[in-house]
Amino acid sequence: MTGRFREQVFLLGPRRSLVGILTEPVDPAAATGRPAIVLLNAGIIHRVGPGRMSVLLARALAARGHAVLRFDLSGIGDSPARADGLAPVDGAMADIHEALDWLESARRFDRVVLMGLCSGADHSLVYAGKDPRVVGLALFDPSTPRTRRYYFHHYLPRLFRPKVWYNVIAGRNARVRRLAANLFGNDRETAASRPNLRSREVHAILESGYRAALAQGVRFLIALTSGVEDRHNYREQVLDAFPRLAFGDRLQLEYLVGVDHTFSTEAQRAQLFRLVTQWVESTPFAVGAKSEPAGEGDDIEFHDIP
Amino acid sequence: MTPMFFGTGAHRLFGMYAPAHAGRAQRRAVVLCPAWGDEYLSAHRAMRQLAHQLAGVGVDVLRFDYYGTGDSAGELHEATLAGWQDDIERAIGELRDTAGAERVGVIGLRLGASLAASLVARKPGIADSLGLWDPVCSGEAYLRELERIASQGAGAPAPEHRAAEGTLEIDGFALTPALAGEIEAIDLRALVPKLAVPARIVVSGSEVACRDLRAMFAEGAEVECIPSPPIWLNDANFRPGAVPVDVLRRITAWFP
Repeated sequence: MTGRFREQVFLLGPRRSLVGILTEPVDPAAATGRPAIVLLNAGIIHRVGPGRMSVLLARALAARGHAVLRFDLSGIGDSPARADGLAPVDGAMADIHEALDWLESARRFDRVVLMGLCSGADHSLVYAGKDPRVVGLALFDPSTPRTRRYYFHHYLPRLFRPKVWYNVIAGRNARVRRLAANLFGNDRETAASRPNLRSREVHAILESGYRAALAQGVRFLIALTSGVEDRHNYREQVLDAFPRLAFGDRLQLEYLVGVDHTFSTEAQRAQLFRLVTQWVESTPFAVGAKSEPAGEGDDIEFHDIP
Repeated sequence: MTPMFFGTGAHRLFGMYAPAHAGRAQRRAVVLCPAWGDEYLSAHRAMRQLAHQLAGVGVDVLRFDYYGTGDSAGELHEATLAGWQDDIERAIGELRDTAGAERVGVIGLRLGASLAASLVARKPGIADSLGLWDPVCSGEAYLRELERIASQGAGAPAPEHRAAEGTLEIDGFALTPALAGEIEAIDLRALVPKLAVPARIVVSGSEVACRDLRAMFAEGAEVECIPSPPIWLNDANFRPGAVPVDVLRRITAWFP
């Protein structure tokens, strides 16, 4: 891969506060006509991603002719927190907007594909419909409300295990307590890092994000891993969770069996990279209106990795 | 802080330079040597905060990523511990040029501490001070610890983490047999007689670990035990991205 891409570090945004790495083909003209790809933070892991997967994915894509920007949202990694008092999600939306403005002014990209794992997927989804420059979303383990079929898959195998029944009687098993909570509506799920998927408000926000993105012609790749069985456990869960949405032919939906949430082996990452590459290169993204370039961006360093 | 790439050719390294805040007469400079693997990711925020605090007391600081890690060039399977020691030396040279500092110290966390100590032992005079934050003392014990963590990791793909050609995959980071062999050979005790500068050591763990280090270094180091979470671990017992305030305060106090 070495020699087929180059990397530069930039400070993005009006305050030059967002630390970003742009990975491009050695000949940047190779990326002309293609949307830029923007990789968002997964949780609070900085822009390199879990197991360095964002670095490796960016380089793999750049070697195939794509421009890829990875940057730290404010308050994550090397980007300082915003000083304007915006709520975290609003701040993330503003950061993404600033990063896309930079891509447009510095590199003339007026179309982007947002890509993210976990919270990165959620941020991508919520942002997409707010900005017509977004033409594609690649979402890895996005927050997906549980469905009846989810619970069927989740609990059915357990009904045939004697130990489960023993624990039910004894009241010992944490799953039993959760099941009781589900049955009696006493859901105490308060995961700090992910939205409460039983909340109607969260459901509405996610559905609204999908709806707005679909309305502007966004193409989707959604990959669910089997590694977070407590959140999703079958391929069509996204469709069942949002039955009123009509994706038509704009969705490629994958369920990756034997893959954990952070793609923690080389084989799992290779599987993801193949999937992403195939999708990016075969998808007919919408052609946006060309905007006038505003000249070179505010790059602070220009070093190549040949 | 100023992000940059430094180094040459295909060996570009990523660094974050934090210039000393104005108002200090004495120019002091320190290179921060990160931990490895998932420990590097988990401790990133604490290392950033440490750089910020050191800059605040008048120290020029360079954080950086070893070759094949983080934002630096290369792939992990190409990396060696010897190469990472060379990277620390490159970072010292870069900081010397960038900050105009004649004397540069090194502070390392976990494996980074062991690498820093190895470099200082091998090249007396390369650094004017040596700070070790929860250093890896025994490479063999460290390897066993990595294997144990990997086998207990959430979503671990299989009990056996060995990929092709004997490479061990630990929380998403590939440990080649060559790198594992170098790690296994780490023996901090053997380095002590070779250290030309006194070491300053902070240990987040128990008094037992401190006693071992005090015995190991005898008069050659100042060892302080500060009960604090092992922030380099992706641990459910404390929030990710935790910053060990007391430990950072102590390290910052090394530069009065």
